[in-house]
Amino acid sequence: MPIKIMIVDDSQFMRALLKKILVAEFTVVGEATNGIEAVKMYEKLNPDIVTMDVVMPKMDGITATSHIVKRNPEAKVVMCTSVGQEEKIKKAISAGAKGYVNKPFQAPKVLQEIKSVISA
Amino acid sequence: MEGEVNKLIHFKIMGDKGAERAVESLSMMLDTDVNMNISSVNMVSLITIPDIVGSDEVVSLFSPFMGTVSGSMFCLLSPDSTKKIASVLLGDFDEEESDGMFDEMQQSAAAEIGNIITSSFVDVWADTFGIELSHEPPSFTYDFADAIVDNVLIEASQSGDFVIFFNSTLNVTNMDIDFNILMMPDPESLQKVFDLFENVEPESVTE
Repeated sequence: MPIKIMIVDDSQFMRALLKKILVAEFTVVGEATNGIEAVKMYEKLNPDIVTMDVVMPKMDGITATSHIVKRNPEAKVVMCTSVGQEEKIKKAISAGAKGYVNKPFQAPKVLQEIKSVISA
Repeated sequence: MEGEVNKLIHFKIMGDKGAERAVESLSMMLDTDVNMNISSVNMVSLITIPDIVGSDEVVSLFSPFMGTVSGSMFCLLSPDSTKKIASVLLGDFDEEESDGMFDEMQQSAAAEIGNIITSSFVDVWADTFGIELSHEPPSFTYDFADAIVDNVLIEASQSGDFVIFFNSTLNVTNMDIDFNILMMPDPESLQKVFDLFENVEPESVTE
């Protein structure tokens, strides 16, 4: 059974970059461009795991994560943060994120973190 | 006068530190050597920007920042430099068809560069002053420099403000990319920044 993954990032470039990294091992079922879209898309698609950007318009990734986790406490969300956003990582973990990867993305680290969250 | 020079020296040191962080992130992202140099820093009136960068069409990557101090930061690049940096980032991604000068993917890639540079500069300010700062993702605009300045003034709801102008060069895979970074704290925040300089130990700016 392929693992379904959803990408959330407002940057088209970052979504494309992540997709390029992920498609080798996972099935990308959806891409959302902000937190509001992410919450709606999560309910509709019920993915196995979500990669979530932090800084986005309309609704940020931390708020979106807390909404998703409130609806499904088992939801697996991996935050995509920039180096130096330690405070945001803490907030994201409090909101229910299960892991994080630093931007700029390095493919092996992204895949390793996602696999580790899936198998946890 | 001496006070003004000291402020510029502080801004230059913080700009250099921001550039160092940006280089670190860009090198990781591009998996290649990246160099960034800030040749000079000046404080100028926003309305003089077209005289400095030329009134031709430019790309602006505009990002408001907020927290203990607030304001806007934007990078100005020539269309040629924008194309170059986008091509480095996009590599073997498929090109999109576009009627305009830049397709959506090129705009997004350029905005990501703006995001990295803005994050690096904002983080240095936050760390140096021990304050909380965050920023919004940059918005991409391609227009004449005069129009860009007008838009910035409208978006920032201010007029006649001073900007801290970092004249910068980026070198990626033997390509020189000229661009300018402009930080425009809100008027009350600019005074706050000067006050913060008074309170910060010199070594925390220089280390």
